[in-house]
Parts: sequence; structure tokens; C-alpha cells
Amino acid sequence: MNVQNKLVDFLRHYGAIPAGDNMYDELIQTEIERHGVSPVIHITPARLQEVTDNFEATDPRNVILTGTAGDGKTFHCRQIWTAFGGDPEHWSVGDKIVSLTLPTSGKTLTIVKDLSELIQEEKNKMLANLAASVAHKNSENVYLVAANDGQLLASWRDWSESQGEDEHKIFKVIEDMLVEERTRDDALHLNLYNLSRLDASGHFQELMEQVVEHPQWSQCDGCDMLKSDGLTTCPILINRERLRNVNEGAVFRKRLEELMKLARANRMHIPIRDLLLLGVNILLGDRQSGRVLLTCRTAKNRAEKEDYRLTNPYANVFGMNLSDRQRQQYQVFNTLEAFGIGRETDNQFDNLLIYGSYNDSKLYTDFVSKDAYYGAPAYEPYLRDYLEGARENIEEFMQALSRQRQRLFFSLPSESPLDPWRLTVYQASGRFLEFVEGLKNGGDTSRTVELLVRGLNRTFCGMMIDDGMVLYLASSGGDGRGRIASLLNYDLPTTRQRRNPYLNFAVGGDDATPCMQIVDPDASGEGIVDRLTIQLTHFEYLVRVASGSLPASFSRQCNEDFLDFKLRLIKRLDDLIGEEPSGDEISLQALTVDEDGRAHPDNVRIRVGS
Amino acid sequence: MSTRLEAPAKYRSDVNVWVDEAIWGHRLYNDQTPWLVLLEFLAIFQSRHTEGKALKESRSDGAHETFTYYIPRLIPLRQLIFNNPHIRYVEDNHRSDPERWQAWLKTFSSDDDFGYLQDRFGSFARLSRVVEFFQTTAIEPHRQRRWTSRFLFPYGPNCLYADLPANANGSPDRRFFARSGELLYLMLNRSGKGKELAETISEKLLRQDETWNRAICALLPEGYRVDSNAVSSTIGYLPFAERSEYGNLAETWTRLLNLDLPGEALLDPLMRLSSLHMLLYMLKRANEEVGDTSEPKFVLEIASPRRTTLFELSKENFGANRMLSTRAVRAYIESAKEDERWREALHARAPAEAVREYLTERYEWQPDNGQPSGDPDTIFEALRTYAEKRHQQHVAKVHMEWARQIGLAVSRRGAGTWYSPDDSLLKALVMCVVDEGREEYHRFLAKLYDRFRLVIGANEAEKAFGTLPTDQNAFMQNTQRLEQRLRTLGLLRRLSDDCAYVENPFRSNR
Repeated sequence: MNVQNKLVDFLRHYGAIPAGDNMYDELIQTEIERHGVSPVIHITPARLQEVTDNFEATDPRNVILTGTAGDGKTFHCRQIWTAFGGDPEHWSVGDKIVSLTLPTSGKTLTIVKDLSELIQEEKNKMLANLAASVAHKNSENVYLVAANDGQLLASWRDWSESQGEDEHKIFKVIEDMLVEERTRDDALHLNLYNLSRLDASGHFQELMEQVVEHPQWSQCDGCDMLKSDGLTTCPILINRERLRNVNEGAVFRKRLEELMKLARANRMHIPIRDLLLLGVNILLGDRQSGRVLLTCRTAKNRAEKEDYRLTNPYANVFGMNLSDRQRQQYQVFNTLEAFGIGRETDNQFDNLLIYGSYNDSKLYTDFVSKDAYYGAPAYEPYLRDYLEGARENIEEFMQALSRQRQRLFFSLPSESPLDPWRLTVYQASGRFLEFVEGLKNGGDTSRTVELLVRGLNRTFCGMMIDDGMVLYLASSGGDGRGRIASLLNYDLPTTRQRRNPYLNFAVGGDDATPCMQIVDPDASGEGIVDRLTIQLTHFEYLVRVASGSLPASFSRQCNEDFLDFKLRLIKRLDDLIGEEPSGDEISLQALTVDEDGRAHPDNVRIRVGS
Repeated sequence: MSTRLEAPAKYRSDVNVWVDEAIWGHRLYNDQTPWLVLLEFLAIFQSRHTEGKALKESRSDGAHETFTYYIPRLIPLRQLIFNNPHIRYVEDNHRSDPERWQAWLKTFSSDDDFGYLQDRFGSFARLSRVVEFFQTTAIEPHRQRRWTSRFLFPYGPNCLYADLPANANGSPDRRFFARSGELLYLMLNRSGKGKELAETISEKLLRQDETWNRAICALLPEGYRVDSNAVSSTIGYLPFAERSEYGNLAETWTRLLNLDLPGEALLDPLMRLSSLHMLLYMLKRANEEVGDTSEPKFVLEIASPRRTTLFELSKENFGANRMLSTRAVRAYIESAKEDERWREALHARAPAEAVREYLTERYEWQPDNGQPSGDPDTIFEALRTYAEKRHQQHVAKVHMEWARQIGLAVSRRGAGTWYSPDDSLLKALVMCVVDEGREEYHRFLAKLYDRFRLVIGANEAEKAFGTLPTDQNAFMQNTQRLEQRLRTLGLLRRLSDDCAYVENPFRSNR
């Protein structure tokens, strides 16, 4: 008997439905009841505790929640509404603004579900009240406002520009808070939470755990695709097994988590709604045209025809079951696409995949042959056609090869002799994650630091310098943007100093990205002369430059960033520790590099005519 | 628009017809590239600065500034750097240092004795490296100009000198220092911000103690008199006493000079944006002559892999802007017919004679092939044809050449010329326009239009054209392409799907 699992029907609602639908929250509520799903899949709203505590205080602050569509702004608002005794029925009526009295402070809490829903007049009135309240001018009312950041800034700016100096100042502070990712500012009675700045990787694990371990999977018991020994031919159950945090599934989940951490370090955000969508898409994605997601019935169909190439969870990660147009609508797929997994490769991997089956490679047996659904059976017919046949379907072979690379990326164990990150655009990702971990926990980062400094030296000087212990800042003359810079301005140590400025690496404010800083120990306070956030792209660039290649694809941006940083830094160091020119002599440091990559500063003195 | 200032009689009589100069000033010239405009300006500035008058030139009410400035020739220095082909040969073909010095001093024939260099530099190779350094960092090194028209990067006041003819001691031919730098000087002088600007320019761009400026001094002979045989010039002519363009230009200079950057890094953006302001001035003045009250505009197509509708629009816009100056010349000549004197001349006893007299006087017309004859209309046509022909030779070419050189326009064989910014211009614009460290992306686009009349997005197109000239989507894609470009230049940061900021890496908010 083919069982229809209601959980599967329900999960499909989290799939690729149009983004930006602001009835999403309400829609899901209805479906939960219809399918009798229990427990519901949810994550504790990240800021709920803080927001609740705030409104329970005797002097509650105003709260603004910003974020992209799908970050859970409305969800937070609804939770607060019910937590403080608001009637759930009333919420569902659809008023744009609701209010209640807070028990502790006795103040009136006004909740704006979505600022962009208000018409101009309402918006202006709301902003006037909100501005007064954040400036402490109105102690009777507090606000909880949800808004997209762009719309919040645009409407607040427009409104403040029609007002006085004070109102505009408030706007500027809020703009600063948002851009600089600060929650509080002493000047305002306000907490600003940007839900887009939260770490998606943790949320994803939390959601996946609830999806794949949901008790209602037991509804599958008795389905004729599920044998009594637990073996199954059902693609949904096969994919579920691969996503469970046991055995091989642990690797799949870990890689997904790492991709999300890396995306964050490259300033790419994945909304919570997209995380659920991604999880469901991996599980149920179906490449049969016009289908998108599996149902129990179509799953049976695929199993009977052994059409597993259509339900490949590793390709589903990248939304390969969607049309190009559909796929591009979702942030999560655009973000994951940027890693180039499936396109990127190296000789080691392609040798394995193309010739491995012919030279009895153990790796091939372990990593390709053993996967009875998405490995050899889905790939070898195309491989044979390519190597031994008429080569009529090169295009299809390339696609099959690309899917094998994707599968390998998500299934190679960490201790395998192959480095999965070679299958991505950012080949130094593994090192990057390690580096951030090391900076956070005080681990040994010296080897990576040396590599980065070498990359910096080569970028700053345009010469093949090998030194990674000293940072050389050199000029090219002219407008300073010349490729080769052979006049040494400063050399800075890369270890902590007591008197002189030095280069230091630390974790940035987001706790996910490294940051290079020039520290002046003599200065009062923090003593940071200048800093630059090393995004994943920068990191990759430096590592590649340090190992002798210049990646054209993203060298432009990185080169500009580092050049700007160098120019700015030299100016600041000139102001700080620059030497006064002496009367009758010019002293220059000409930098040359010997065959062993050692840098030699040569002091050139020129006497000046009197 | 204030009234036109009287031009010095000498300039008027020096030319064969006073039309281009009357409209835009004396003078704009296509052979003078934007870099040379900036260099000429700096040289004038330095001359006046030593007299304590830089950008503080007095002007009595209703009269033009009159003063003379002096630019040094620095011939020995320029010979060393730009007319010294043997130095590398000598270094490669002689082993010992004394031999090298001896060989070089022998081959390097010149009026001056360069023996002092051995004492100052010690090794010959060291001198050779320093000379090479100045060669490779020279201005527009790829252009094949005579050695007397090659210029050092302006590290400091001693790097500034006159453009000279092949005979370096002769009087200048004004081929490359054609007075456009004088116009730039006069514009800043009339901006009302001259005094403040002069202080920052001398502090930031023209420091005596700048290392490379001092190295230049080390190349000059002992006791060399910089002011000996200097080239002297009287300042040119800029027709209008007050215009908003002068203030805008000064504002751009102030913003750039206040950035968190050393002076050398500011020269490139100053060069580009100064010429952009001067192009705007040219267009606006032309519009006024034609009687068009609209503002100038540049429709920018951000480079795209596929041909876009904006490409067509931009090309059309470029064509119209390029033709505008010729239309202005025509209108300026046509205006003679609206004068009472034209009618009087037509009714005179000998109308042809009277018309000729009227026109030659009004336009300082000196026909180069004898007195024009025929009826009044023929004479008028002769003048118009002559003025237009003269205009085509140089001034009409300025728009295209400058626009391309500052990275505002590109030309492709088979596709023509259109406005499409290069990376250096984009960077200069961000450095200038984003004044508080960052600016929201759409406001940045609005500011580019307000300050420089650059049209990239739909909102600005609507302002510039009155209605949208092509579909909204084309403009939206144009702004998306610019966003991508700025991002690869490290100048833009997206906060979320509906909010992005342009960041100026050289202006901290602190």
C-alpha cells in the first residue's frame, strides 16, 4: 500500500512559493491546522527574549526590527502581541497597527506590523510619534515597529528632511546604527535589531533537525516502499536519511553549515524563510519538468522507474529543479550559486571522476560506486558514452559530471585525501574557517598570518616577495596607483609590539569575518590607526597571490580595496610617525627583491644643492 | 547671466574673428589635454602664489583681471629627464662607475656642465634610477610629444615649468599650454572660494619639502636660478564675471582636497573633474547662445555585454552635445541681424560696404583671403562660413577629446562615440560626491545628476528630459550594472535587497 504522509504534503508549502508574500506567516498557520502537524516546525525567534524582557521592564525602550522579507519580523511581532495578552483573533483581523497596555510600566505599546504597508499620511504620523518617543519626548507610548531596512531609511529620511535639525539628527543616528550594525546608541531610547545580521548556519541546523526528525515520519510505516529492515526505495526517505545528522548525513549538514558561514563572511544574507525553503527543496526537489517538489505519489513513480537522477539532493541544494527565472528569485540559491560548486574543479577530481573506474581506484569505489542512487548508476552511462561511445551527448555528460562534483563536495569525509574546497571558487575556504575559529579561540594562526602577509606584500609592492613576517608598505610614485611600488615607506612588524605600530589580525564585530588592523600601542584608547575587513573574497585573493597566482576573476576588486587601504594607511602613518625632512639630504628606501624572494631595502642618500 | 566683460584689445586684434573667444573665453583648445590644463593651472598658481596673490586676483568692478605670470623653463632638468637617451646605454656598456660618469658626461652634450651630479648622487646607477623614476611617472608618457612638451608628475612646485617649442630657448608657441589652464584659474578666482582654496592647494599639492620635489632640486645645477629667462604671459580672457559653474568647480576642488589622501593621489581626480566642470560650462554657455534654457546632460550607458537602448540614447545625446558648440557659433553670428545696426547698414547708401564695416567691427573680422565682396547676404555668409570653419578646427573638437580623455565617453569603430564612464572617473566621482563617508545608492545617483548632470537612473532621466525617453526597465538595468561596477571597485556595499550604500574609502565619518 502506498501511504500518503501528511507531513510531506505540509512541507511542500515551505517550498518555492513566491517570496515577499506578506501573508506567508498567516498561510503557514492555516496549513499547520489543516494537516494536523504537531509539533510545529519553528525556531525560537532570535531576539524574542530580549524584546520581551524589554517590554516587561519599568522603562521599556522602543524597538525596531528590520530585515529582509522572510526574516521573521512579523513572527516576532505576533509573539510579542500574544505574550502581552493580545487576542490572537484580533491579530488575524489584519489591522496594520495594533496596541495594548504593558502590565509593568502601564505604557501603551503600539505594534506596527510592517511600516511599508502604511499609506504616506499614516507613515508620517507614525514616524513623528516614534521619533518623539526615541528622543524621550513622549513617555506614555512605546513602539515595536517592523520594517525593511531600505524602506525604513527612505521614509524616515524623507520625513525628517521636512522637519527640523533635531529630527534629522535622529535619522542620522539610526542610519549609522543600521549601517554600522549597532543595536543601541546612547543618544536614543531605542533598540534596533537587524534580523538579517543573524547567523544563518545555526538556524539552518535547528530547522533541519526538526524537519528530518519530525515524529510524523512514522506515518510512512506500512508504506510498501519501506521494507521492514528500514531499507527503502522512496527518494524522499533516501534524501531524508542523507540529511540526518548521522553517518554520511553529518558531512552533508556540516558542509551546508560551512557554506552559510562563508556566505555571511562575504556579506551575503540568507533569510530564514529561504532556509526552510532550501531544506525542503533538498528533501523533495524533483527535476521532472513542471513538478518542482515530490509528493508521495510522484516519489513512488520515480522509485519504480529508478529515475533517481531527477531527485538528486545535492543538485537540489542549488535549485536545479527550478527554472532559471524561479531560482533567481531566491536569495539562497543566488548565494549558493556564487560558490561555483559543480563548475569548479581541479585535475585530481576530474581524473578520479573520468578515469577512476578504469584504473580500479579505491577512491572511486568508495566515493562513486558505493552510492547506489546518485553515484555510479546516475553517471556511468554518460561516462561510457563519452569515453567509449559516440560522444553524442557531451552536454549531458558535462551535466552528469557536474552533479558528481556537487555530490562529492557534500559527501567527502573531512579526513579524505581530497580537499572538497577545491571544488569551489573559494579554494581557501577551509583555511578561512579555521583561521576565524583560531582568532576567536586563541588558536595558532601564525601560518595563515604569514601567508596573508606575503600576499599583502606582493600586492602592496608588485614584486614577488616571499617574506611573511614583516609588512612592507611601498609607493610607486606618481598618483600612487602604479603596479610596481619600489619605494619603501614603512615596514611594520606582524607581532605585538610595545612601542611601534604593528599589524594585527582579529575577528570583526560580526564574529564571522577576520579584520586586519594597524595598532599603535603608544596611542591612548584602542590605538587602531586603520583597519580593513578581510572578506572571504579578499582572503582567497591573498592566499592565491601568496602561492603565486593572480586570479583574474576577482583580482580587480581586491586589488582596488588593498590599494586604497595602502594609500590611506601611508598617509595616516606619515601624520603619526613620519620623519621630518632633513635640510641637505634626501633619504629614500629603494626596495628590491632577490632571486630567493627576500626583500632588500636599500638606503639611497642624495645630497641636495644648497 | 551677468554681462560680458570687456576683453583686452590685444587679444581681440590677435585673432581673425572674435567668436569662439567671445562665447567661451580665450581660450579652449583641443590639443591641450585635461592633464595639461591642470599643469598649466598649477604653473600659473605657483607663479602667483610666490607673489602672495594666488586666486586672490583683484578685479575692479566690471573689468577683467589683468596680471602677468611667469613660468620657469628649467631646461637642464628637462634635458636630463626627457632628452637623455644615452644614460641607459652608458650604464649597460661601461663597467666601473668612474667610466660611466666620464662616458656619459662626454656624450651628454649640453650648455650646462652636469659634473655636479657625480658629487650628489655618488653612483651613476643611482642617478640612472632616479631619472628612470621621473620618466616612468611622467604625465601622459605614451604620447609622442617633443621633449620640450613632456611633463613631470607634479610632485611639488619645482616640477612645474613651461611648454616650449623645439628650440627650448625660443618663445612659446602655445601648442599644449594653450590658455585653458588660465580659464580654469580665472574660474576658481571668481568662485568666491579662492582664498581658502589657495591655502589648501599650496599646502596639499605644492609642498616644497615633498621628497620628490626635493629630488628634482638635486638634479638642478648649483645656484641655478629658476626665474632666469622665465616665460611671461598676461592672463587670458573669461567672459563672465559671475556664474554658478565657478562655485560648483570650487566646491569639487574643496571636497577633493579635504580627503584623507596625500596630494599626489588627488591630482588624477582633480584633472578629470575640473575638465568635466569645464565641459559643463561649455555646454551651458552654448545653450545660452542658442536660446535654450534647459540644463546640459550626459546620458551614461554603463558598459553592458549586450547592446542596450541606453546605448542609442547616449549616442544621440553625445551627438547633440558635440554639435551644440557649432550651433552656438551660428547663433552668435546670427545675432548680428537682430541689432539695429544691421538694419541701418542695409538701408545705407552702399549696403555691402556698410554691412562689411559693421561685421568686421562687431566680430573683429579679418578675412584671410581679402575683403569679401558681393551683396550683404553673401558677405554675411562668408563671415559665418569662416567662423564655423575656424570653430571646427579646434574648439569644436574639445568636447569629444576631453570627454574621452577624462573617461566620460568611449569611441568604437563601427559603433561611434557615446558616454560611458571608466573606472577612474567613477572613482573620482565617488570621492567627490560621497561626502559623509557613505551615501545611499539612489541618493548618490541623484547627486551625480545635481552636481554633474550625469543621467544613469530613471528618476534622473525624468528630470533631465521631462518625461522618460525610453522604458524604465532599461534605466533600472543601467543602475544595476553601475552597482555591480561600484561593487567590484570596492565602493559599494549592499545591506539588503532594498538598500545599498556607496562608500568613499577616503573620507572617514569620524
